Amino acid sequence: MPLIKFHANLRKITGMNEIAIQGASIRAVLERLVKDFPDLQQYLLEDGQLHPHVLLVLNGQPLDLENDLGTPVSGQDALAIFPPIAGG
Amino acid sequence: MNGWSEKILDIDLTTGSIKTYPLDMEMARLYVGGRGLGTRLLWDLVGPQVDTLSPENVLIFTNGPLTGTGYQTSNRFSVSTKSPLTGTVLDANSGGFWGMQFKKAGYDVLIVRGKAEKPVYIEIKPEQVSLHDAMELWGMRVNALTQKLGQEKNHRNVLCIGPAGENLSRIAAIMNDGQRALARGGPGAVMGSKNLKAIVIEGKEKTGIADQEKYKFLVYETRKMLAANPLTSQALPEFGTVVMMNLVNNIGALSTRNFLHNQFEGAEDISGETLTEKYLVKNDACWACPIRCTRISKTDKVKGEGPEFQTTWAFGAQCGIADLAAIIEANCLANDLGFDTISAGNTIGCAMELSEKRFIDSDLRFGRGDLLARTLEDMAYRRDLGADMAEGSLRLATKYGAPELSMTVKGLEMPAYDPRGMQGQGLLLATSNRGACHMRGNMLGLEVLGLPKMIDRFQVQGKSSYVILNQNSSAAIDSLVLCKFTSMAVADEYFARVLSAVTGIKYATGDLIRVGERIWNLERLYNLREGFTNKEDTLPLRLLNEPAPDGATRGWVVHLEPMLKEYYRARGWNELGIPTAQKLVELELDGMQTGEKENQR
Repeated sequence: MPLIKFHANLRKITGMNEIAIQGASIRAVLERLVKDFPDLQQYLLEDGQLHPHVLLVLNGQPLDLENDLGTPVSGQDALAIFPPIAGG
Repeated sequence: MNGWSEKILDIDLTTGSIKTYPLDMEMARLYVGGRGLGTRLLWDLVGPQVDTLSPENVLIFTNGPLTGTGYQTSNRFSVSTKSPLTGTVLDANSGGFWGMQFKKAGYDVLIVRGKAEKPVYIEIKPEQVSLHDAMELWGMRVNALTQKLGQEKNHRNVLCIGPAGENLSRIAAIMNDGQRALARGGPGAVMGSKNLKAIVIEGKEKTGIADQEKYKFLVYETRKMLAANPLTSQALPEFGTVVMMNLVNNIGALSTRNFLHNQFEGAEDISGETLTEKYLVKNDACWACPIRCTRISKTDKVKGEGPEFQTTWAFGAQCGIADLAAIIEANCLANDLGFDTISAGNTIGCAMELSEKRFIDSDLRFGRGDLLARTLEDMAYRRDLGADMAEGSLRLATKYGAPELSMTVKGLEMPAYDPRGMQGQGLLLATSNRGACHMRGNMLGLEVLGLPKMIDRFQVQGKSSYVILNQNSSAAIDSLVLCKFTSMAVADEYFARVLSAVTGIKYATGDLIRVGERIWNLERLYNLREGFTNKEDTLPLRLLNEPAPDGATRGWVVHLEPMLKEYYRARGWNELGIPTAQKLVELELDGMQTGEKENQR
């Protein structure tokens, strides 16, 4: 199972910093996450789609939300999820 | 008088003369304000023969036509000078309240020339401008001095230097109401060289607005845009800028231990999440800012503003220090001494590597958070090794025989991003006119955050057009002068509409970006006139030659040369990085002689 790492206020919402979760692709993992943590919906989704400001980083590589959600994942992978964040 | 006050205040500290005269409004139309106007005036006032710490250098404080209007984030102002750290054109800007007060005092520009015989401070009040003896104030630290001079938000505001500026540290800042700074490039040293301790200001004039109805509507719309955007309504207020720490570390672009590494094992301990959980008291805001990204933090020993992401990195990962309390305390102390925190932390990291590699004999070592306070004090008062460190990283490393260990561009210390993991950021830093700076445009949005779209951070081809757009946009926003965070929710074209409503001058879509391009090219001409060439458009050798050792960036160096070639071409410059005659005509810069001469060769 890939390891999911939460950042910023997602830690408060889920009550944890990380969790291993089942899913064969990024999309499947996200669906499972929202099912297990319904409060995540308002931070991650907009009109049923991933919010454009959400950032997913797979093994240190930022993902393109338009093209990369079908990427397969396994137990070797770490997916960091950032809600909208900004800085300079 | 709409937008601009149309007035320059000019003070000569050598003679004590205080003059006012009209602002050239054609110059204002072309350069708007802030950084643009400051650069244009600097072009006329300070040439290549001027030593940066001599009375002939000047400090040019500028606000912009939007400053003080009440438009969102219209609080910022700039100082322009020739940098004592880099020798390049320099402007540094700051938020808070002083800029608003400066505008309300009825001036667009304050020029300070010469050198006072003894320490003085300037007091600008509605009824008069005066010089006061500052003998008793000389030696005071920033917070105590700011209080003593009567700083009161929205009524009376204080710019000053601390011991670092008095002792001519080339990385000294001009401090703004105690805890904000005109930081980069050493403007505090220029102020110190003039025996000028502080500038106190009170104002009461209102900025004229040409089209009140339109302006009010644009303010209303901007409020809605900022509230609807999660970056400006949630991310920045809730976690501030330091929330970037874990992300930049995760992708392998967090420079660590003087850029020997690109990931820091202690990043979580100095992250925005940890700051919020353990040390945050509350958030705060500059004047007229609904974003409220300022952090107020507290440890057992100190309470103060910040630290921001770059400062936390500079005293943290750059020095291999994972003790956030020590970093917060170093930030407060650096502010009180009057340092640029990025350059101070970066220079300490450089000294740590020099010491570990035995170029210098010192107990500084990566990870020694317990030495931060003592080292900053030594730098401010130029004690022992601190005397060399006060000169900044490049002069320090050069003196001890290892200039390659200085992580600088054109002599200015690098910010947090390791460009081996962000190729476009590498080009941006290498070509920045004031040296390595993440505020002359920033590729973080495009290469990491996916804003407004994600582009491959390792891609080399095609990066120059994005970098140029970023740089021009940053120069335009710095001329208004607004906070760049506003532009996360509001497009540049929209700012042009606000500028038109305030000034009554029609700035069409694209005009404002053209102003930014004009400023960028004039800064380039200034540096060329100072003797800089394309050879200085580069990065520390470590980033060009040593592959990044960590994480997803492992194996990468910055492929600068191809990006640079593409950049010069896209800028309309020749292969030596000199603006062509055609480009200068296009930007109404054709009177600027250096560029013409170079191109006739």
